[in-house]
Amino acid sequence: VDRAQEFDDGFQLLSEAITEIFRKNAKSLSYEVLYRTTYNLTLRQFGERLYHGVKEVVAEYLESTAEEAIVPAFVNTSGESTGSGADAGANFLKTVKRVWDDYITAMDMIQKFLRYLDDKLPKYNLPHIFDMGLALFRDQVIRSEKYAIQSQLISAMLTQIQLERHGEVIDRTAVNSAVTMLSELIDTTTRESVYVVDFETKYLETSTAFYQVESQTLASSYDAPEFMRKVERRLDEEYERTTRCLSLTTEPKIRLIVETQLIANNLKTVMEMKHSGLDSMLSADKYGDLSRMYKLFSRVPAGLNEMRTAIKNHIMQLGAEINKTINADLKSTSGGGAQTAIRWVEQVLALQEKFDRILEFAASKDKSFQTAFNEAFEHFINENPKSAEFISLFIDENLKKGLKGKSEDEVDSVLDKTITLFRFLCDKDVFERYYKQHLAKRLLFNRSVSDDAERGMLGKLKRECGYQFTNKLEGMFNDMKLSSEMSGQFKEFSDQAVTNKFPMDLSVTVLTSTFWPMNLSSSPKCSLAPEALQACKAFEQFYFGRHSGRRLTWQPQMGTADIRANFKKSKHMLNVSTYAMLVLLLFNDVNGNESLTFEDMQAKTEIPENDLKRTLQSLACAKYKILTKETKGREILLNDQFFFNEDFTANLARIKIQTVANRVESEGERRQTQDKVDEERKHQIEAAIVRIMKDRKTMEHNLLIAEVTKQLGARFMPNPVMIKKRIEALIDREYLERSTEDR
Amino acid sequence: MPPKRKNTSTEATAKRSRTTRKTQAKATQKTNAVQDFSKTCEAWFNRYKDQEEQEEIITPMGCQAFFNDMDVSLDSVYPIIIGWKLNASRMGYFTKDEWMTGMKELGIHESAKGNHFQTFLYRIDSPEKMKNMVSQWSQSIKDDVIFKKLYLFTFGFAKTTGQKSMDVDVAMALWPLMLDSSAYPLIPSFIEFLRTEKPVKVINKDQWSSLLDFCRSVPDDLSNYDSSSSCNYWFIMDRPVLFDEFVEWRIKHGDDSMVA
Repeated sequence: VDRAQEFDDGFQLLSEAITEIFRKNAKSLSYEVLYRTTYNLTLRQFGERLYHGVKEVVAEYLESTAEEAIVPAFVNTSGESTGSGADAGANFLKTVKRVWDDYITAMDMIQKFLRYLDDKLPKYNLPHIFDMGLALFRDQVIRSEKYAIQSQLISAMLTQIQLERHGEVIDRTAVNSAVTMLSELIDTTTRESVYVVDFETKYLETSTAFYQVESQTLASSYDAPEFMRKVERRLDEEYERTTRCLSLTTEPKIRLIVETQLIANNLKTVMEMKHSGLDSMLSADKYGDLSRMYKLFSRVPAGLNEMRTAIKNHIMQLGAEINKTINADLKSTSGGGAQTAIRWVEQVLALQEKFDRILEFAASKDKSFQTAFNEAFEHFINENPKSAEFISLFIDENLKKGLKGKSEDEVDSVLDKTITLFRFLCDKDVFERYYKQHLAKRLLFNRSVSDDAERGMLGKLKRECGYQFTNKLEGMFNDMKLSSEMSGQFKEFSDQAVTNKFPMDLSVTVLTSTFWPMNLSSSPKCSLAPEALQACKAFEQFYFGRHSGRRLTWQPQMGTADIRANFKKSKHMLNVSTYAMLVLLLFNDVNGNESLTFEDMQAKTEIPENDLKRTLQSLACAKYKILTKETKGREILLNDQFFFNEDFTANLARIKIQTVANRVESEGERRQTQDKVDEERKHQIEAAIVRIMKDRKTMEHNLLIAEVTKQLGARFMPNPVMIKKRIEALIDREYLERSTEDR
Repeated sequence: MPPKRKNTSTEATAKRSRTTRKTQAKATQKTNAVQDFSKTCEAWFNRYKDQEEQEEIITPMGCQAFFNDMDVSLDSVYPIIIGWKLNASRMGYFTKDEWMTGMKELGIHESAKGNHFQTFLYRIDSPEKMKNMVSQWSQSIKDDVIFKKLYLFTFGFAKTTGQKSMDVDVAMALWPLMLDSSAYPLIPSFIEFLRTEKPVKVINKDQWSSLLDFCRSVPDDLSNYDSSSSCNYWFIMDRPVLFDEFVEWRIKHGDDSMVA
């Protein structure tokens, strides 16, 4: 009896105190008394009862507070204007915050004087007072089953955020305090905070819906650059709001939503926007916009891949355009063509520079972008069957004229640029063939603007491709050097010669046949004028005196001659091709008014028809008309008549008559070159096969093909079917045999 | 070498002499048999040899008679088998050397399978005896390994002597003979391909040799074919390019190109 009374008395005291504390009348209470009471009750084994009693009191309080303070502040959601709705929402949140703050303060006090009990609670498997308080608040208020506080609360918070998203100013502290409150309450089933379970999930849902709509709005209302700016702004806004107002843990989740809805779902839309999308940005070099696009796209998994592929396709398209235009130009222009080739190279180099800048300023030198760009270049450059020829012609033009007057550094940079293009070529052996042809003409007609530049180019090629590539080219240079040394000796020889004196100065360049790109079997045999013939014989005598066991084959199509020509009014020294010399010498035997027909000249000189036509064009249809042609125009017909132009005048004493300017090959010539290349490739493939098989002894078929491809890849991409055919040819010649094992 | 032992017992001597005599008798018998065989064989050869040629050789006419005497059809694979077994170098011809050596070797080889006491009794010196062998051989080539040897031999045997490769017409005639269309259903189709497309004028050794493996490894609907031009370069079949062309032709023309 005493005991029960003891408890009731003690408990009444405490429960009244609690009520007073809730009424904010804590001042009137004595902490010491309350503490002692708790102490006594606890000591007297009333701890559990006391706990449950306190709990009941607190629960009652919460119940009444919910009804009296919170519910009245509910927002009326039926058709009120946004203005008052916004305020009502904020007010509600503030109300809740006030209740919460008061409650927390009170609970803090309560658990202080219940301290002695509090320490003992774990023994009874009961939570601490404060935690109990939080749980009660959670269940009685936030998640009250009686009143719709939860939905009001969540809805108020969401509405505030939504308003801010639409540009309104809201009371952030109200929202923030609600967040803080919810974050302190724990949901027992998930162990997450009530913030996450009750609020965050809904928040993310509504945000997704919002951004879905936003995505469509933005995409349909703005052009690409503006769209991206708006997206950036949204991202910044959400980041700012989440970190200031909501919880940090929510940040990555909301960011993902915004990125997915606005960026990931719109990758293609943005890039393909007419007049403002990726293509126009690239065309106009809009580095800022491109850079923004790169940054935004890098936030989503597929973003950069899409952008990279789109740019790659853009480059390939531009490249294809260049190819098409240039090829069309080639078909239309009659003469020249070398200029067209140079234009191609210049356009491709410009394209390369443009995208180098884009890579640097927009894509911050992203390596994967660099690779993609290179692939694009490689693709369209190799799509054009003439690119090797074009590049060689470009270098040729530069080494003949273009580099005149440039400093060493400038020369170097031009040549370096051509090397970057050269690297893209798949079939480097085709390039080598053209380069040799062009180099031969440069050396023999003495057109190189600078020997240093030539050597420089050679050095660069050697660094790129190794010794094998350039050793023949170096051989050509060597021949030139030896020949010039020899010519001094030849002069001495011919001065001393008693017989066979010939009335002209002869300068001979001896070419080692394996180095130079001349086809010996097709060297034309033309009839040299008797003076020239004599000179040649004298040289042969000299040469065979020094070297035995060698054969000399004269190449008249590559020579030049200096001729003194006497006209009516002036004398000139003409520098012409050997063929032209032969033609002009014919006119020595012709009287002033007589002419020679094309057929006549053809019969007397035996120069091949096409070459003769070109020679006559250079003499009669070009700037300096040494001969006159009866008919008008450049066309040479078989019965055209030619006269020596007695009335010829010119300002210069020395005149150079150019015959052959380098042109782009005709289709027939190109096929010829390709045939030669294929022929050489067959040998290279066979050599590689034999080399590999000698080393490995036995090898599986496909592995052999792979190994051959690997070994030859630096020079050209061998066709697997060609390799297979070469294997068969080697089997036939009994270098290889198939394994007799059963398969 | 151990010192010679003096003859102690006369019985041993007698025994030895008896043995020696027996051996000698046998030897003589053998030599006689050998001589007999040579004569019969030569006579048999002379029946067919070309009367106009200076050196002793059986030419196609003689071969025809030879095969007829044995009831061997000229349009069959048997003449080739016979040529193979006799190790002849040129189809339709037998030199005397080839004949004599071949028949003798055959006799030794074939009868070595039987009782060794009969070693020198079994001779092939007549059509009847040869006929027996032929039917045995036609059974033996049912074995894949043995047949392959015959097939590979045929290339050198049947091609034009002195030429490195075989005329495609000859090949087209031989293949249906040797590779029966029921066991090798691709053959008629392949021959049709060669006839219509004319991809080659001669068949070289590699192509001839590889055909057998090709037929054995590829099903007749060519379902395991890898087109090296359409997909991954690295799975190119290890076989002559001619067969790749054949398969492409087959795929292009579908089954209406199959010859019954």
